[in-house]
Amino acid sequence: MWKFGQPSGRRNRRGAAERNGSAMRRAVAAALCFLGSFLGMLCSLGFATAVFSSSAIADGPETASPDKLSFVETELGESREGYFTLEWSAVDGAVLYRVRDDANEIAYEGVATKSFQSGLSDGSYRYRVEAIGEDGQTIATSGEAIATVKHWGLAPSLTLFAIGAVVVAGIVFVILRGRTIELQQLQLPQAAGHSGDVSKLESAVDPGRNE
Amino acid sequence: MNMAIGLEEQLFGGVVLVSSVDTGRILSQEAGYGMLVLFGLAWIGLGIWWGRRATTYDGFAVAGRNVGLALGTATAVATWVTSNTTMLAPQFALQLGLWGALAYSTASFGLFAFAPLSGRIRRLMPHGYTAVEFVRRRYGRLGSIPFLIISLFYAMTWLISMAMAGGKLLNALSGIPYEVGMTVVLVVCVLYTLFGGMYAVIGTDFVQSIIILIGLVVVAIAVIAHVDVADVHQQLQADRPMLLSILFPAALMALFNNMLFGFGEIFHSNVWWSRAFAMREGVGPKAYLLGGLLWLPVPIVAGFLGLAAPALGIGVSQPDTVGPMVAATLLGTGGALLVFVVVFCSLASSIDSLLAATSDLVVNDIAEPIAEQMTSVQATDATKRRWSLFAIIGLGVITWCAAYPNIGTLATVLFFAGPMVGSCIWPIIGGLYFRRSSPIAACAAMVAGTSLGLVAYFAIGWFVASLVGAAVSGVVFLIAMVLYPDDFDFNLLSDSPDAPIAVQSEGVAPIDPDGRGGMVGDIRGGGETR
Repeated sequence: MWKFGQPSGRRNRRGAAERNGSAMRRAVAAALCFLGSFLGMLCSLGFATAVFSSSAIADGPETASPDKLSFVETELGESREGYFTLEWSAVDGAVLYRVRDDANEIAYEGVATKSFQSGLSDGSYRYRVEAIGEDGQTIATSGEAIATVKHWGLAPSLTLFAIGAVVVAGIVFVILRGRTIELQQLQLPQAAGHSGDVSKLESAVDPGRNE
Repeated sequence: MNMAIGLEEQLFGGVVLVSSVDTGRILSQEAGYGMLVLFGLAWIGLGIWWGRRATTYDGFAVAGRNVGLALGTATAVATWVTSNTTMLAPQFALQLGLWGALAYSTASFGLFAFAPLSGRIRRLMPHGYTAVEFVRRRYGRLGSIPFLIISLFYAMTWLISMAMAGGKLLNALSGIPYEVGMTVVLVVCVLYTLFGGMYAVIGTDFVQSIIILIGLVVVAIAVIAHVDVADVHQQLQADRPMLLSILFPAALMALFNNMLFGFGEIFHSNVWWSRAFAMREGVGPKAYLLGGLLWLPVPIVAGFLGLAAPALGIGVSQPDTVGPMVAATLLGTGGALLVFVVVFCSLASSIDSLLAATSDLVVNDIAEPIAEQMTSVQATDATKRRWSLFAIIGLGVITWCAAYPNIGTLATVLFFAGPMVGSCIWPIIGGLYFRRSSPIAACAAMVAGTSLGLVAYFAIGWFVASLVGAAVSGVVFLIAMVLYPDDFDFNLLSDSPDAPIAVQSEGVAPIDPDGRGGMVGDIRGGGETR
């Protein structure tokens, strides 16, 4: 339990103990600060060590697998927001992956084994992915992955949009009206001052002014 | 803005671990370490320099209540630009199109709305320290217990998520190991907050906000110079038509949801209340208004990066990395350095604010009331100052322990904050402006709003959770206020151990004492008392 302001008599008797306790707490605080500083210095200045110990978390393509190229999920289910992520297995020797849609257009090209698709209208979408080797040749092709997009209905969406608008309007109304009335209240004493109502001004102590 | 409305584990706190050249490693590891050391030492040095004035608890916690307009505006901007702003805004645009970019930018409306509130807060509680303190004085235990739970949940999950995002972002951008990046970001922020308190937080926020805004202006110029808007439109029209659609259902629902999330985050969080207390009388409204105006274009610029990615032929594997990828593609090595610095500043400006504001909660709303109850003696200024140091170190240690294992599923917990903070909006503005607002109304609104908001989160999606939470909370609050009205005397809020309660003051007069309009309590003496 930390110490609080004590009555003066007790404070005298317990002064030494308090000073000891206070010194102890300061010591603990200093130790923690030192530990923090040490950690900071260690982390900041020890980057040379970290360079060697850093894991290859983000080093180029995903870890390759000897398995054939395939989507993690071939049936992606129904997206109600028009976006989804395609994910596939990595392939040995692949330096690039290319995702094509059912119109044979390139939907993604990169070294990651994921592709984020968004902004799609209602409908069914089919994709396949190709693994490209160092010589630029296709070294593997996956089967199809199918995703369906069916957006939320407009009626519930517009209803929630309207509810949101009403709630925001209500909040803004309360704040603006409150502010207006508050300003009127604040101006009252000033008006009284101009009219010479000194006694009213003197009683209107503003606790907000503590400077 | 800390828009915690991700979809899957991958959306955690800004960016996830990436493992491909198209999604990360826009900077060499050596350069990353160099920047980290340079800026880390700079923040600590500046924190110590600014913090030398924090000799009293008032100085440490609320910067002597004397912060001016420039610093006040800068701290609002810097705190609201989190790593999520630079990462999630492009993701929003890529997921929800133009509505998505617009939805994210509506978070600035939270700052606009808080502007008048900050002035009233400052006048009502000239000696106040925290938002929970207001709720405790206004609603008693019935209101303050759920509010404290929500506040601590939000603050801790935001703090942990920022620390984790720091580790992941630095790893993604430059390959610095997660543990090292997370630890350095956290330790740097803990150290300068520890030495300088709110003085250091606001001072470093000033520098950080300038760096962030310069970085974003450079990126915006690069985007305008390199990207043809007509090409972007054409590409999106062909491949991603819904991103341009006005009638995009999920995006329509997300618009007000995001706005209310922003309102809830700002209205309830002590990060914003502590700044309102720290600013000089009359500065808060102007500072928050200017801060909102400066923040408004940030997600629009960042959002355009997301929309430009398809036109630039950038394959997106994970949507939250699209912003840095596009910036680095457009600006090369210089852009990569800029992205790194902006991200580091965004992280630091949010983490330091959270450490300072949450330590105030711990000292004023947990330690002090418990100690007073146990000893019946009020804590001295020096004691509270000492508690703050332990609180900041403790928060840092807890955050580090929670963030170190890098548990992805922890991220999903943060997403629950949407309905929680949404349900706090009405109890806060009602408590500030209505005499009738009662403890029962506040408690019922927070509990019902949070519960049904979470139901909506699971039944429909993240893009309606805050909206449902705020709407339900508002209805419950108004009904309960009619059924169980209070008759609160706002002068009670100005009570302070250091200053006697003013009998009647110009600044704390109850609004509408004559009962004008139905928005304020007008049944003086006839209502239920707490």
